[in-house]
Amino acid sequence: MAYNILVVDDSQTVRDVVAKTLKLAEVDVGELHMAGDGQKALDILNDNWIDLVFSDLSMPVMNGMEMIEKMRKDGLLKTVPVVIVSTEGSRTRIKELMDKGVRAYVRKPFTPESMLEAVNEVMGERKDAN
Amino acid sequence: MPTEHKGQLRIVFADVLEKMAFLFAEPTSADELATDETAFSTVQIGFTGEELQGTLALTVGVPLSVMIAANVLGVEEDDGMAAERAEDALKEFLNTICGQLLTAIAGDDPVFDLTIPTVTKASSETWSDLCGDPAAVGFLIEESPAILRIEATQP
Repeated sequence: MAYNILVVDDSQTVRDVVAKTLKLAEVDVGELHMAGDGQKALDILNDNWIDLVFSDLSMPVMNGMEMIEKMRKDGLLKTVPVVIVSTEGSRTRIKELMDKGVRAYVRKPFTPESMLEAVNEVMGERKDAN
Repeated sequence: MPTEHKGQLRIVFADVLEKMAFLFAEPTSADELATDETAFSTVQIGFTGEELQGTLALTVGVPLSVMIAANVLGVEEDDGMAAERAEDALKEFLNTICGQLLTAIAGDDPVFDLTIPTVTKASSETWSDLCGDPAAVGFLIEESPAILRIEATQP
């Protein structure tokens, strides 16, 4: 089953590397959308069916935490799983993210294996729920 | 800069460079990094935590920044995308180094806020000054020099 994926990061380089890494990990990607900040991500989420979001935290205009909080307040968007891809290393902050509904966390620098693990962890849960 | 921070910086830099750009860093003293390069880029990031705050900066010759971008993106160095994305790749590279370094220094309990990295052009004079800076840590990457500098203080 192919997943429609949204990659959110203010770095075009990171967006491209995430896309390349998902391909190397042999993740079945259907539509691949990209956004440079949380607000653009919300616009894409409102206009497209997205199965999974990979997002950075530190971004201009709207950061990852703000984006997640807005998604959680939306009746439809709150069901879209978010995986954070970040340099963040603090257990306190990671717990805070999980408490806000983030489904998985991948620390940079990431590998195909760590990205695949996150996809399986999150989408496997969704399959079980369905 | 405490000696142990320099040691941790060397380890983290080499590890991130290998994982992100598939390149190897050979540690060397900064005063051995004289070069004929004339164009340099400095990328800088700030960090703030309860017990530690400061800045981390990386200065490289422009050709090395293009090499790093090419390797990160998986394209040839003469691919126009590598030059176009060199600064962006440097920012992300330093961002990743900083996150890993702060964990190496302070552990995984403390919370740090990082600034969005910025890139500026640096001159040969700046490079010479860095070579003589005792706080600088030098590397050779595919025979191209790179200098890291961390300034960290307690708030």
